Amino acid sequence: MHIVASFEHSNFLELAISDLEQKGIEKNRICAIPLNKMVKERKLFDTLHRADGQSMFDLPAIIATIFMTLGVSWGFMWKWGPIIWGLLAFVGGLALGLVIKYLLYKKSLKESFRCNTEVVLIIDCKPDEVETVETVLFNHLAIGIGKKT
Amino acid sequence: MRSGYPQSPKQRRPKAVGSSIATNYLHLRNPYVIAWWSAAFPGFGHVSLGNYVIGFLLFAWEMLVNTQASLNIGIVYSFTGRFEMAKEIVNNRWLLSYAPVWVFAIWSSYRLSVDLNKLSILADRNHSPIDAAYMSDFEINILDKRSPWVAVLWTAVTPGLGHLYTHRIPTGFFLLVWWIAMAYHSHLLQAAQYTLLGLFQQATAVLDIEWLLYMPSLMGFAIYDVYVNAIEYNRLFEREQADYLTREYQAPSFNMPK
Repeated sequence: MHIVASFEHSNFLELAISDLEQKGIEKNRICAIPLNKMVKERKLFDTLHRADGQSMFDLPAIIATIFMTLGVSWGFMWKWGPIIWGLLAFVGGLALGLVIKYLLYKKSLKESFRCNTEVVLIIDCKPDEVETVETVLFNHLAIGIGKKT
Repeated sequence: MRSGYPQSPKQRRPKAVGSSIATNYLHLRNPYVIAWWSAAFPGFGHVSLGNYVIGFLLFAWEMLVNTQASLNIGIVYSFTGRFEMAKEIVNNRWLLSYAPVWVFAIWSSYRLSVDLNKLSILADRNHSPIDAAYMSDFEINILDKRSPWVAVLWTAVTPGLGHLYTHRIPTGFFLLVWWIAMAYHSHLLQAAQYTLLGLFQQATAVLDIEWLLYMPSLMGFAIYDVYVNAIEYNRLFEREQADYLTREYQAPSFNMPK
């Protein structure tokens, strides 16, 4: 009987495998298959687990830096002074950059939320081990668990 | 073969080499973005790539020549249309030495990122092994997943803190020290307090523009770099773990479902 589970890459995954081994599932009854990501385009918004997108902050940071330098310079001649104008220009530049990036990457953004399985784990277990295995996988943040009898 | 450990002590085309202080790591960079950071502040492009010695050298050069030539004040006067005052303030005993090194910093970091991109691709194709942890009696550097947004948030509060979170200590230390120096010499915090109290004239009067003008570049770079750093360390973690699982948990004797 086989149990199949999907995971994101994380230290929980290694803990799950180690837990299974502690509970008597031998190493050669565990098969892990890391998946290659099929999304070619770099992604815009990134979470802890779906990491990418050096493209995300490059333009906003560049525009924000230029704007802030100008804001600080001109702020000396304007009423609110260089601090407020510098900050406003920084935030404005950052926002402008993010809007541009968002418009440029709108399409790939949709794809990036599709699914987040990164590793498939297959465990060959005896019928009386099924519950233990499922509990361990569940407790270590498996995305989905299935079995074949 | 000890299980779970990369076996190659010295690689011809390494992907990542680390110590307990930081992991230096080749990944694809946009050469134009790196060139831009060198233009914003000579040294930043190299620091972002991991070429710390060159980066720190160029940074120190910039601080020396810029302050001696009063270049930042000249820039502010020029931006605000006070060209005569700009001509007046700039120290021409130093000014001419600025251009060659500034252009070198841009050119050099651009060229380096183009070359390192090639080596990064070669290292990927060679599947060069990666270590998951480096420990010494000083520090603990483990590959792990970290949130890029948390890193950005800490950096926005004080540049350098985000890099301590992602464990790139040389960049973190460097940014922290310079941020403190610039905040002190520019009187930024006093001006911030006056601004919060609505005393805009006092705020403007207390500020030292020469030092203040360094700060947008430092802040912008710190945020960009820490974000990329967090993302790329996460990818390195994923790659290392995928290599490990493939190596250790795909036994030929595994009974696949039929």
